[in-house]
Amino acid sequence: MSSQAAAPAPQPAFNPTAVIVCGCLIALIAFGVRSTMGLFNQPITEANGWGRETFGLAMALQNLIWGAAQPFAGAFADKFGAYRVIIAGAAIYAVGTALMVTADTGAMMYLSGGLLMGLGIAMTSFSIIMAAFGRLVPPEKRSWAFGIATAASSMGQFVFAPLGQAFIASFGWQTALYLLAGSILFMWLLVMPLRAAKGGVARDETELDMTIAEALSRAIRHPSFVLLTLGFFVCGFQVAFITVHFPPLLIEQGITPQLAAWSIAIVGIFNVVGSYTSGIVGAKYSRRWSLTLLYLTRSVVMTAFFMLPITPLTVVLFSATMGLLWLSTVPLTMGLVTVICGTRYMAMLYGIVFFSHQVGSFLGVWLGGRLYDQYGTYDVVWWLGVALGLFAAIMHWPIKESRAPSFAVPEPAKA
Amino acid sequence: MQWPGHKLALGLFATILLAAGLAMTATMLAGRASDGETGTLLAVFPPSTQPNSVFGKIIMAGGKPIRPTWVNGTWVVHGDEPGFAGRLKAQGAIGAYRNSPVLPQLAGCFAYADAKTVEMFAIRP
Repeated sequence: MSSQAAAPAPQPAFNPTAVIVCGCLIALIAFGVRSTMGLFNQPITEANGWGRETFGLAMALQNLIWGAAQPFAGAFADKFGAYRVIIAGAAIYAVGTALMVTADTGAMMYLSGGLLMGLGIAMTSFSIIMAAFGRLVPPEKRSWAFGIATAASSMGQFVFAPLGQAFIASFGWQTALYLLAGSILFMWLLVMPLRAAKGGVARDETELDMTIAEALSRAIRHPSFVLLTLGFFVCGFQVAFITVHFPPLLIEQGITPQLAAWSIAIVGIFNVVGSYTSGIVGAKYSRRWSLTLLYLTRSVVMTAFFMLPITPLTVVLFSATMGLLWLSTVPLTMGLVTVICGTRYMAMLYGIVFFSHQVGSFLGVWLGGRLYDQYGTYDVVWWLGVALGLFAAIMHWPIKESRAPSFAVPEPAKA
Repeated sequence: MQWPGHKLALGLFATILLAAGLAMTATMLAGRASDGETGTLLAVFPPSTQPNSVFGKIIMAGGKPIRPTWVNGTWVVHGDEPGFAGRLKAQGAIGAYRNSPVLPQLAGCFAYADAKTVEMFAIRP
């Protein structure tokens, strides 16, 4: 390790607008294609004569592998440049998607829809795009760039859900998967403007030059990084639980399936607004306080929803508020990783934080069903979600929103 | 170097929404059943039409209402007599479709959720 200050910031080889637009489109495709997978559940399951478990397990694997692979994908992006990782990731993602057509055994489905797609998503998702933006975009624009990348990812579902459905309706599910695989390869054309976002070049002079292993070792020993990681677990838990279990909960409470479905759409629409706005908030206000307030608000809103009579009005208000708070944690969390640990290994370190999120997601889905089966009601897991929101607020409160001493160039000793 | 701001975000998202809307419209038009078509279809009536009224119109068109969908005025219907789709339109349906690309999808960071949502709310004839 050397203690020398980092090299000067890289300049994008392309127009800044092209950098942002192409990065956002890659994030949109990466998030969008995976959001269509639910559409293939029925046709693939029926075509192969499987039970629902095979496809469901492949998708659960995909999500866990995405989380587990994210730190490694990030480390490669930090080392070799985001554009190289995206090129390779797009190929893996497309192959995984296309191979689902020929997957006639559970093992092949786990390999294609689970392992390969999970790896591909990790290598092309908004984490990698945000890391590329973090290195190319000047610090005063960084939070905004994180926000627009997250919002673009969220928009992916609006574009690809109908597209996937249309592909299936018009050409059949097999051709639809090939077309989606082709859409993924479109990333190759979009990646060039991110080329100057090359790893090995830090953005500012306060960062130390160090190896990946040193960065990892220092990060996991820094209390603020650990607190941030623990807090992000809660985001995954709450979001996944609500996504899966909220519509059935509403129907159980006498809300019509129509409104239950609209509630999900409302969350999706407000999520785009919330993601973008949180990028702006992160640029102007303390990210740590914003996250503390955000998790606290989630708990308050969840409590109020459960204490009040459940009516169409409260369903709409709850969905809109939760939508605003949905992925708005992402730009703020990425921003804190950048502030605490710098930009040099931000992709890998955010990957560590994100893995915690995915574990939380898995538990949110699984525990929601498990506790419902055990108690015959969602009350227990709902209150668990409220308690976890408070836990996350407490975790973010003591975070120090400044460069960790172990990641900063020491100030010259005073005479 | 001048970096873009909110105007770019607005323009980008508006363009994406417009493109998605156009693609969806084109797909829906392509999936529109011809007047002579029979079988199981999606009948789309104006959203303000009362369910009882929709029910009656489907019967009048010579079909069987199978189930309403989560979109107001949109029903899964079945009719075996030739010209069923045309008769639905004559009864005031905006259109009859073989399939609909419109459905809610929420992709958090855990995509398995979508499978369950899709199963609950898919609009399929």
